[in-house]
Amino acid sequence: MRKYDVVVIGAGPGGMTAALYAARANLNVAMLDRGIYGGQMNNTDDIENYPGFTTIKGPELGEKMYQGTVKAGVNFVYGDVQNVTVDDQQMKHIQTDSDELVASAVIIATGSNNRKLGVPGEEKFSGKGVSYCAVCDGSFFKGKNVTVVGGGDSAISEGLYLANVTDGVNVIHRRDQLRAQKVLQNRAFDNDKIDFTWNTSVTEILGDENHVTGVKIHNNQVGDDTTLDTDGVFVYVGNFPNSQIFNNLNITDQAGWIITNDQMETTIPGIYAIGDVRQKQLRQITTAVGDGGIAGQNAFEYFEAIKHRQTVKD
Amino acid sequence: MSTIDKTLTLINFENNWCAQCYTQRPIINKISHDFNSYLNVRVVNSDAHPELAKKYNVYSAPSTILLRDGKIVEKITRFIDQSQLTTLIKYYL
Repeated sequence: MRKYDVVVIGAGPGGMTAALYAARANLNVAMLDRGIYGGQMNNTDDIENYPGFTTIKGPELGEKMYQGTVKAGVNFVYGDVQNVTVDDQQMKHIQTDSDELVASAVIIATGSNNRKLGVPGEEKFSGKGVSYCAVCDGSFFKGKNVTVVGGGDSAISEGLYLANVTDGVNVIHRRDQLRAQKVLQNRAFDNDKIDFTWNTSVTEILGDENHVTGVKIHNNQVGDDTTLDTDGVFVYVGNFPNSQIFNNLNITDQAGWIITNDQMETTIPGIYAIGDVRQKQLRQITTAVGDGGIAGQNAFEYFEAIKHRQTVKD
Repeated sequence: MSTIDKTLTLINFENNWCAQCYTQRPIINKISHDFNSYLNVRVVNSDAHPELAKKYNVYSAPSTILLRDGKIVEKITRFIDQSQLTTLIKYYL
């Protein structure tokens, strides 16, 4: 069992910022993650809306943020969190797959994961042409044609990335217009290698024994069903929160997003939530970073208040 | 790739852009060490060797392939943890 002042669960941009602020306040901080630091930035090619950089690769920004936390004295701990409990003294016990950590305050920064399409063939061909990460898997599709499903920022920015490495990209979207930022939309509309199939949903992913060969689609306006040939399907249809391990704490809404106030406080004193896992409108690196700063500072104030109460009691 | 002499061979496909590949790496190293006498381990950067990815029909990173006597017996097209991978290898040894 290892004891810290603050444990941050998740090492994405929000978690790294929270850990940085808490460590700079001279707290003993552990930042836990079950994989490499960087969170969803690792799945992002070019980031163009993070101030200070005109363009930066996602993994590169993650590395720079991580180096900042190391310099500030944050302890990076590998571990898959199983649950968090609170004891009678309001100490938080974080059980991982290999250890137990105890802390006065916990900052939850576990982010979100890609939502699946939920159609026949998706599970069967996952890793065999169905992907949720263009940066990870795009290079397997050099010289091939791929399909992107979705119309938001992720779908269009990753579609643009795929247009650079594949022969052609067909974006299938269930509406007649995109939700992505205008600058991304304009870039995609101007790209000769990107086509759009509007008002259309994917109803099945088809393939042979080895990999994807096509998709069945349904036009939501005309009502007809057709089949399109494709070598790969990249799915970007939204996200769901990584909050199942906190179900016992009763701090989420019905969809699983963690509810906080504008100080990032949950209903449990000393437990904060930040970034994509939090119930909020705009899930971006910039907003995660903002959340992280607030939570890091508030965790420090919470820790100081406990220390003061303890001193008065003694 | 060099000639494979041992009964069982593990090929791990990875690249520098895949976050889970970083998590998979130490597990592959540990497995390689633990089963050194029985298992050939090859780590392939899929960006550097697209021809191998094509040969083994790999479309995702990380992907792990187990071959016994040169024939594919398992293909895991996602991250696999140490205990699951150990169980699989023991089954085929």
